[in-house]
Amino acid sequence: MTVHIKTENLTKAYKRPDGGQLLAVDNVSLEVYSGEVFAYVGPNGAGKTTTIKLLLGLTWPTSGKSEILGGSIADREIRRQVGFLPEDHNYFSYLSVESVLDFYGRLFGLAGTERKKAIDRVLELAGLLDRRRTKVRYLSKGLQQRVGLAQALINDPGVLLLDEPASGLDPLGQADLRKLIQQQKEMGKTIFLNTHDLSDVERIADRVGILDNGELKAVSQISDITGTQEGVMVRAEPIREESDLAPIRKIAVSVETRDGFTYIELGEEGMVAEILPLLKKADSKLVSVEQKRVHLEDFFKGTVTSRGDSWVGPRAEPRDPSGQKNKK
Amino acid sequence: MGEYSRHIEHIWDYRIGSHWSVIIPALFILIGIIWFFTVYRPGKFRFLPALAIARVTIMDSIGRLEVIILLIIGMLIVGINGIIPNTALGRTTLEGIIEGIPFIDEKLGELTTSADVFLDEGDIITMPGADLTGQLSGVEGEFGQYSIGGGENLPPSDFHGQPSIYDNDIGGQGPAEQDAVLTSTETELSGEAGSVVLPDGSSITPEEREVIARQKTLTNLIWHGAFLVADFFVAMIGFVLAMMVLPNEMNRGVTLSILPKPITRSEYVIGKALGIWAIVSGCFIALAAELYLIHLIFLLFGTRSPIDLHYLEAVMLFPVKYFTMVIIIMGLTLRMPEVPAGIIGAAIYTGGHFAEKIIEFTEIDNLHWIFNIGLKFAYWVLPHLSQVTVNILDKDMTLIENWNMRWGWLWQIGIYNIVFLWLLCWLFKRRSL
Repeated sequence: MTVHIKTENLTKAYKRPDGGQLLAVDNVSLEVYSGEVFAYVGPNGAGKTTTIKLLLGLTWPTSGKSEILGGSIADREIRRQVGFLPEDHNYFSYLSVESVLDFYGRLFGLAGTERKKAIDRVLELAGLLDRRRTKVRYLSKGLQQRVGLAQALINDPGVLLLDEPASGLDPLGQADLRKLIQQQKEMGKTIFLNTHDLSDVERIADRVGILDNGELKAVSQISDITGTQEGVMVRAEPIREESDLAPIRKIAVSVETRDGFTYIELGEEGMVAEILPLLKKADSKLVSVEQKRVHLEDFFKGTVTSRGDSWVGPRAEPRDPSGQKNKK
Repeated sequence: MGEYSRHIEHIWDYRIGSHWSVIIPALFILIGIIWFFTVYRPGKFRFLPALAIARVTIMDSIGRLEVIILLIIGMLIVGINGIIPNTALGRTTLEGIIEGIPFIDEKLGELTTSADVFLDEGDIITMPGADLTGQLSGVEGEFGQYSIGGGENLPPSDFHGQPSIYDNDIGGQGPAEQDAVLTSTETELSGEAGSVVLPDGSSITPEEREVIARQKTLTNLIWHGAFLVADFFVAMIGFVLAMMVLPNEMNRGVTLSILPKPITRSEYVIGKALGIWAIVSGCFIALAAELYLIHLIFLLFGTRSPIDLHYLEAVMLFPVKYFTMVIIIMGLTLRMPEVPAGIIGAAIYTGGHFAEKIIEFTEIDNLHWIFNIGLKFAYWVLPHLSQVTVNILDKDMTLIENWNMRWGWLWQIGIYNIVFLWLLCWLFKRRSL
């Protein structure tokens, strides 16, 4: 497989007010292959967006290097084949959606008819056909996010970098986004997906890279992480009485009541038959039985040590390059 | 009908038909044509990304409320300034207002006590033809005729009249050959450059002369004030837009979606500067056009219009200095927050109008050498914007002494603009987003 995105020991350090350095990206080396969806995940402040900015030449590495499509992003011809959706972006708010896309089309040098066709294509892809004449300032955040997606696709790029593409999208929008990414993947596009949404990653990504405190902790195939395990998970209507739960606990691996359901983990599928009479006795009904599997979230929690920008607990300080790890 | 034809002929021959009045609008039309073919027909002509950036900047900015409000206020004030001196009611009302304010009344009196009001150092005037005398003598309350005592023969091509003198040429004749010989010195107006005499038959008395002098001074001040107002409002629009454009786009993430596209940082920032400059220049041209229109309307109907067309032509070149202002402020916003950048930019822009005065201070006796060097440094660093004022009319004003080029000022400002633009690009290239 051809490598479409490559970084070698990519490092970005910022000066801290106390004179030290803060490593936003720490010695990251990774390869993204043609036609794959690569998810780049990590807590807030892990350095995901900085990595993308380094890849796109929006900021410069302290050390290391990066390539897209085998060359430097400074090359105008390479840029013609790259699409990018930034996080927390805005567009020219006094212009209509169509005018904004027209502008981006012009930047790619698309001629009149070609540009009009491209605009129609991306408006349809982003679900904005009925909003083409609406000024951007009157669009909701979710719709503005769709405008962002549309501009990223205007040049029909071979490599697509999406920074938090689901941000601001409602569930329907998120479903549309997954569909769109799937379509692009089927068309052979390489997609670098920077996201927090692990469930989306599980569904659409081929591989995942986990970044923590600027350090790439793991790169793995999604299928290797989220494989099935022995045992099943039974979901039933909630059982409140401890007297009803006690006999279930005797045969189950674990029992937990949360989110309005009681989850019963069983060692093997055949034990479901033993549970059913106990549920009936507890006046509960079986809702679902699923093969037990490891989710990306579990893997993520096990890999990431910092808490990012979470409000729960103090944030781990990024490592100082002068500390234990050698600075490139 | 004949009267109107005479007026139109007069307007074209003398009031409009000078080179800058034609060259400047023609230049803007040419830019528009190039714009159209490069931006609107990219399939046929080479596409320039900077023009696309400039275009979208214009489209996004002209809808902004602050720009619209400033432009409307500017147009209203400029319009009022343009109409008042051309109407008797306007003049009378203004006189009444001024008489009610002793300070202004006194200042105006000081300005009108000398014949210098009519005849300044360096003015070159020609005498109307003899046949004009008869026509003008019938114009009540106005000067009938004037000349320079002991004047030399001046070929018509050297004519560079100032309005305060030449707009006495009521009746629609262009500069006539100097052929009159003074026959009387019944009334004489003395000035540094010579003396103006009123001929036999003139009904002007010294008192009337004083009244007219006051009116002329007032109207000149208002006309010049109109351009100052236009200049001020346009500069304000330029300040606001230049201060906001880069920080706004960088903070809102607009640049993040543009710069990964096939466009260089220099193209982006030049496009931004061009876009803001085009808006600012467009606003100024709109205000100048408003004054021009008022001027033409009053001329067409034979009313006196005191505006100096050479002055008008000179201010048509003001956009050159707006470009300097825009790129300086944009560059400063890359190194500091918007407000300090705006303040420092305003100081540089204002200081640029007095740059040539600075060098005079270096000639002060016993000036410490550090101050001397500092002043010389400031002289060279500040853009010489005073060149792009009515001083444009002075062809001898050039940065390099004895470089007697008519367009020398353009070279000077051009060099400053190139240097500042290069600095802007350099700063933006170094900027991490």
